[in-house]
Amino acid sequence: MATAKSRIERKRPKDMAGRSITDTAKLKLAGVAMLFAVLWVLLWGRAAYVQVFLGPKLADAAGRQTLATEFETGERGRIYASNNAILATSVESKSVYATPVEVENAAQTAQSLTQLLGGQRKSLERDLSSKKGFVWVKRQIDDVEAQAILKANLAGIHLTSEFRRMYPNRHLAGQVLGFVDVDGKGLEGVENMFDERMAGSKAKFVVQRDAAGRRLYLDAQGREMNIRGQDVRLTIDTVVQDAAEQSLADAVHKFNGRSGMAVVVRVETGEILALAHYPYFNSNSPADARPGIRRDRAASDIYEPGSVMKPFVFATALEQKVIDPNKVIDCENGRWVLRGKPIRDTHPYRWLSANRVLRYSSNIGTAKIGLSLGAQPYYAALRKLGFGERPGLGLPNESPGMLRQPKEWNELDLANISFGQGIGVTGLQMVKAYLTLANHGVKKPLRLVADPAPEDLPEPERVFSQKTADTVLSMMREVVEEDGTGKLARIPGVPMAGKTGTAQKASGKGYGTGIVASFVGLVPADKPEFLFMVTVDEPSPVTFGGVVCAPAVRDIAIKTLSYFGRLPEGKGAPTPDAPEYAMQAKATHPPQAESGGAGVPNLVGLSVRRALEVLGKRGVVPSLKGSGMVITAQKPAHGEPWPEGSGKDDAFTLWLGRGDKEQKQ
Amino acid sequence: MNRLHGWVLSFASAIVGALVLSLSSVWLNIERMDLAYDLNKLEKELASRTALCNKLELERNNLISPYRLKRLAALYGLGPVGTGQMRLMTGQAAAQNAPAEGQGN
Repeated sequence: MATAKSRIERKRPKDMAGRSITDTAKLKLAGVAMLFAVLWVLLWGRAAYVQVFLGPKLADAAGRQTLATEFETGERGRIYASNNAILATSVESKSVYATPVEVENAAQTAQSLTQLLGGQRKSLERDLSSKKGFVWVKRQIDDVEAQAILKANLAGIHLTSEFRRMYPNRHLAGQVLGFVDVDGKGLEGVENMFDERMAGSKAKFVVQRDAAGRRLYLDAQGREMNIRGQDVRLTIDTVVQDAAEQSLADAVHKFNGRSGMAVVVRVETGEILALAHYPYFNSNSPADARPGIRRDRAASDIYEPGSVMKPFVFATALEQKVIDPNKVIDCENGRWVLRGKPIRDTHPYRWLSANRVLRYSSNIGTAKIGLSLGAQPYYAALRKLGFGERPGLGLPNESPGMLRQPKEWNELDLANISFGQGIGVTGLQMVKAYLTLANHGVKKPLRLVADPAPEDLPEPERVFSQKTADTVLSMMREVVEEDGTGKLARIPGVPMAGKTGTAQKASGKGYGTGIVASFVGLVPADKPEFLFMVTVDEPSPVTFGGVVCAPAVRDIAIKTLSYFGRLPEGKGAPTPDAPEYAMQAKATHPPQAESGGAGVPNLVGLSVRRALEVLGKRGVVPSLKGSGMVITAQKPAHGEPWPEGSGKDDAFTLWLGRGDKEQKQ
Repeated sequence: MNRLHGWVLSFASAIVGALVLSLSSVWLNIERMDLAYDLNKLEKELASRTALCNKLELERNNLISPYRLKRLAALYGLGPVGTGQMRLMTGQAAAQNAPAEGQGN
């Protein structure tokens, strides 16, 4: 028992010692654990502080460092012609700007920039020496200049991309298109009219920047929208527009006019195919032209139209049954005094039937018809025709013209307004009024824009009965087809109705020596498809609309009809009175013949097209005689040598027929 | 023992999984940046080609503009057709002529 006790006692101190070691170790472990736990809590606390409390602020700071907001402006919409030609488009172009604080040597940089881009060195040097953060050096430079700037690698000088408005047809329809400023804002014409639609919108989106400052698009945020401006399509046809501009320019030059305008309208739809002005205006360089040249004068300028107003008096008088075409009127031998003021005719006539009054454009006869008609019915008809109100195309600066209330008209005013003096109209108003006549008395809106389609078009309104309109058209046909004042507009084979105008221009309180000459033509006369109007301001020495403008209308009409394939097919040799249009394919250096030295092939029996192909390969364009689709005879004959000087007329002649082998001798 | 073993295994798997996900995330971010660089390059190229295309289209429209063609036509002695010179060679004209030819034959 004692032994066992002592064993226990001996063991106890040992256990006691072990326990104390274990306790110490546990304590240490607990301490370390506690330390780690504290550290862990501190870490978590810090993490929570950073994430939760500082999180948004830090994310903001990081965003500022790595993300950037960019703005992108879309390309301005295009303007198309009805034949799909581009009238206006925007192309990317470089612009040069400077960050003056980065410029090392302002004088030297300014010198280099002036050499590369031109401009004023001193003002540029002053800008580069300033403390500004941004200075434009030159905007919308060309590609060669941009390359030169890149190559020069000037400190503080940078390039940025912008859109530059370009008009590939140069001056074509310049006044109609208008122009934009350097920031692409439309200032005149269609550019101004559809500025909101065509302007590219602005997109704002976030990009990520790398260490080198490069911008990376990591998502499509903000870029998914279409920022390109919408296109506009006009009813203008570039070929007809060019024909109108060319013929107008020729007329203005030939008769020393100050300016002129020409309009071509498709009657069926009221679409304006050409709206030409002279002097030309090139929208690519608006600063080079005076404001007077830049504006769309057909829409904005008011003038007294003169005798081209007469058909409307006749139509109203016919409608009101005041006259009939055969009513005889005393034209007073060319001079008639009304209220102490003389009214004169260019040629003296005594008794003329109403249709001859219009044919010879008698002012006295027309004044008498107007007086018989009365002010109120005439005024009402003029208002229905669109005088005294804007033509409704939506063009900027469209003028309503000048038409006084009938209560303000005295007898002399009514007489004057009857033959187109004492009333102010615009070119578009006049065209719109004639469109009603051409459309057999039903008023139709003029259209310049095909897309976007016009909204709220007025309902067609009958102004004159069809019988009245057709009667006036037949009277107008006499003006051109008979011995009227518009006979120089005559086109063989194409019936034309027309009216000349030779109006005095108001000057101060009375009339000066200035004249506005004009001519309106409708083709074909009985059922008009095209309406042409040419007006020349202050022609000299000849001032008659029938001499100055009628040939221009004829010229435009021939080109327009040939373009639309509406000229009558040739039945024989070309008419000698139109040699300027003769199709003389005079290749100055005809291509080498494929089989040199061989004689003329036999073309008899071939179709015209095939024969022209064969001859075309030799650079020969033959004269065609007769009608039909098959060659019936040829000169030179088969086997004869090729004619020398293929440029001469009739060097090679083909006779056409219907394939019945008829031979021309 | 088995239960402890299961816990250890799950913990190890979770650690490995977390590592793999982290590495994948890093790898994907690198790929994303690479792609962004490539996209940036391609976008610049597209923009430059579009700009060139626009300029060429502008030039083409200038070349076929009436005033250019008229000048070229004058060089070769060509002009608009005049009265009495037009021969319609379209299907319409052929159709108009066809009955007459048939009658002639």
